[in-house]
Amino acid sequence: MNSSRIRWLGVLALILSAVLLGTACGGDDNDEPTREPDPVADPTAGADPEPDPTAGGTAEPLTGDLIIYSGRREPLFQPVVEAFEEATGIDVTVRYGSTAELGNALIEEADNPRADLFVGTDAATAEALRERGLFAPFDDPALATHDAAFRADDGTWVGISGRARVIMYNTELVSQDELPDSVFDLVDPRWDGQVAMPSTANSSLTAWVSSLRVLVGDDRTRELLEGLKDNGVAVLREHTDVRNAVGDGEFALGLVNHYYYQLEKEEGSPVGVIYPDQQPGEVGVLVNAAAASIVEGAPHMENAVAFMRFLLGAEAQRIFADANFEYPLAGGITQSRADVQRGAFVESDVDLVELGMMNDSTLDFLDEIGLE
Amino acid sequence: MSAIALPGTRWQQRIESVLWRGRPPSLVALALAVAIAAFMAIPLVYVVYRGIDGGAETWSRLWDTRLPTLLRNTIELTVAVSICTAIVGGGLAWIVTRTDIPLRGLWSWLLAVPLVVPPYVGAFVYIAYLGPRGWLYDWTNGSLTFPEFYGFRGATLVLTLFTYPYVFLTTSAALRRFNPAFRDAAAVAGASGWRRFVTITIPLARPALVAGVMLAALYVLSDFGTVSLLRERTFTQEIYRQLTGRFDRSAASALSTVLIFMTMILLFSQTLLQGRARYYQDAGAAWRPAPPVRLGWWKAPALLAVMAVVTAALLIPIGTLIYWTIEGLRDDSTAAEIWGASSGGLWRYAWNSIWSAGLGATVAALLALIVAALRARHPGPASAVIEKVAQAGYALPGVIVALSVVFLLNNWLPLLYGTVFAVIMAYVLRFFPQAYQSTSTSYLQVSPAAEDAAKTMGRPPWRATLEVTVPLIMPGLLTGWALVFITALKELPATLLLRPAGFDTLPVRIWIQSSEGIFTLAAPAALVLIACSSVPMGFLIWRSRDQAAPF
Repeated sequence: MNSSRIRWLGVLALILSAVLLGTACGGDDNDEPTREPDPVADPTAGADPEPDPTAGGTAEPLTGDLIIYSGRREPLFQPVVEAFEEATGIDVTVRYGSTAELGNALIEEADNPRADLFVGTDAATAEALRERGLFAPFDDPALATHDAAFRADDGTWVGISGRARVIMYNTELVSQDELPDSVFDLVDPRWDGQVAMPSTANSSLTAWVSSLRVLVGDDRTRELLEGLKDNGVAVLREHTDVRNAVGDGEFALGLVNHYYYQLEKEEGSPVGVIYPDQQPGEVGVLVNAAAASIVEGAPHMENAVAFMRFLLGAEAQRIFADANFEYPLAGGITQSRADVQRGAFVESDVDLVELGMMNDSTLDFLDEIGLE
Repeated sequence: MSAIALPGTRWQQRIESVLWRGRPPSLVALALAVAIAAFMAIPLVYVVYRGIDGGAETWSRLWDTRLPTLLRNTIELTVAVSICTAIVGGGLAWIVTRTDIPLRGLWSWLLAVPLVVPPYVGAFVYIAYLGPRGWLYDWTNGSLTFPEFYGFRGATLVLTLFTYPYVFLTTSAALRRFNPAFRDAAAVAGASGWRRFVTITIPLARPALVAGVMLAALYVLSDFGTVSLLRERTFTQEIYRQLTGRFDRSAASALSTVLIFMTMILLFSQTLLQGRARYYQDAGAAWRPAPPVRLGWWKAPALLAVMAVVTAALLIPIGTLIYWTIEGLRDDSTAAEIWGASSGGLWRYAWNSIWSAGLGATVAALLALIVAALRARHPGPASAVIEKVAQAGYALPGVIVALSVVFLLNNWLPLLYGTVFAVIMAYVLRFFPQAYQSTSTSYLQVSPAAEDAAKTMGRPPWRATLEVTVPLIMPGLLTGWALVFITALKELPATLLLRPAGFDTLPVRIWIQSSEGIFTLAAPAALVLIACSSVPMGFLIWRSRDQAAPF
């Protein structure tokens, strides 16, 4: 390299970094919540739900931003976000991640909230976060049509769609007559190495384990999980991995939420579903809820309230039901596309709030067992 | 500083003579360098402190459940990839630089290029081919499969394919400067061809080979994306799981402490493996290019090996990505999603990646310049310590950097948590040593005489440095900048954990889409990422041709 060329490169690099610095600072400024006073204005946050119903009725259009942390997967949630943007003109920014990952982010940001709304894949995690004082209450006429079993009393978390904990199977690998009819059958040596489940970092799975601990006690739950482990259960990262693996025939059986089975089936894979433990005295099927919460001290509180109402309205509930086969919990919408409807199976008799309170101890419990 | 006569002047001088050989630096320069070093070291120290502080209960629980498996998996994978990259990278380097294989120039380029393919991209491409129900299975109607691709085997294969270029580059640079005089002397003394190879060529190439393998091994320890996609349980993956799955940091800190310890053992063993022996090869008057070894009948198998690696590490991944991208663009709804009907679109992700990596690289390079200046112009034990401390974060895995940034910002700068600043801070912390090493190497080669001349002309010291020395070390500075830029551009775990809402980078999109198994959306992002790193990578490869240690 001769020196004049070097100098040129140097000048170029300097200009480039100046430009980068400029845009970075500019970008940062834009990213900052435009209305700063909100984080401090906790009292208004608490009082918000009261004046809002009237405010919602006025013609004054909502503007500005809304920041959502979504543990729900992008393809399932983005359609709802887009419908909301279209209906309101609010600019929504979503950070997608796992429910527990974003829950952790909320904890880190508690003194300085970045998010307005949190959407998680299970109610127990929402309850665990509520106990840490991260959510603002939501008491709104929009809850009129909502199933009260699927929300916190003060509305700090509100179930937005229901999901059943089922076993899916590959119809080419398992014949009708050998289907297991209880999750406790999966420890049978005949299923050695043929069962897949999501990582225990998955919050739906954690809640399911909590429900078993309530229903059959720690000892039998431990027996089941250790049995699964001894039986070479494959612990995959996420439910999507499990459904793909079962659909591909890599595993015969998979522990998933019911809509993962439906989605895999819709893609044309040879899969079937078992709603297990239906006999009297058995545990039944856990119905959990994806839950939404308004973040305490949300920078855009009004917009968060508006989105919450939208989630409970007919349009969003219809999307959850039709596009994702979930069980609607509000808005008078019913599920018609799923193979099995609510009411057609026995649901576990557990309180989602109680499962939430057990969340931390179940994580320790899983650690002790050493499931990944 | 020493110009002011205070009562303690004699002591002060004595202390200064211990700390510095020669003139002590100005207070401002010293304060800056110390602050930078502290900034670089605090995260590491803090994570280790938190890990040890985590309590006996955390440790015993980890030991009873996860630690043994994690240790075994991580060590096995690191050793396996080290051996494989040594064979593949070292072997190819010898074939391409020292033999009469046809098209040597072309191969030496093509074999270095796979470095621009992030291993996690390679992972999802190979899952599509070799996964349990992958294309290989489809094409052969199930009669041919790769047994147990997920896990150790797949991870070893993919990591080897995309990290061997480290070994290839360092080793071929060393072999290119090979002085045939030694070998000729051995030949005169009657040594056979094989014996000359074992006793002359290998020992001379060893330091470079070890340096390259070490880079590959350090990458394996820090890799997150590849092992996650290929379902191999290693430390980084478990730390990420603990960080995201629980509302408690103690286990993540404890596991990080173990991983940091392993990284240090590796760095220490590099010195051991490179050996105490020193070999000096003058490129002076007596040096001439070594005549290539005649392959004869071995030409065909050698050519086949080279082509096989180029196919597996370059043609297959790039070709497959192009195929998926075309598939995606031909489907209207997928195409709309690629261009950003929903959340942002490809160009915004690319722009996010480029400016954050660029800014991180610029900050790292500027900080490196300050510390390098202190080290070069004011040698002595004090600057040696500052230099070492500043590089404490060398080879720190991204998940650990993310963990430390979370700690740091939340305790001291909570306003900055959840902003892009956190991501850029992680890039600077993680990649500063890369910028420092190349900057400081260049700096040490520049004599202070020119700077002093400028000072006698009345320029203040900082201006003398800026006007005289900085232009001279620009190649080193640019190399450092390019290295940080490329690595930050493909950084995944720290970005994933620290990004604010609305700030997705290309790696984050690749990660989300490939986790969903939507390869038609992951592929365009991967291609853009590869294209963005190609330009600076071209610069680095071109420069490495006459350098001993490019990275």
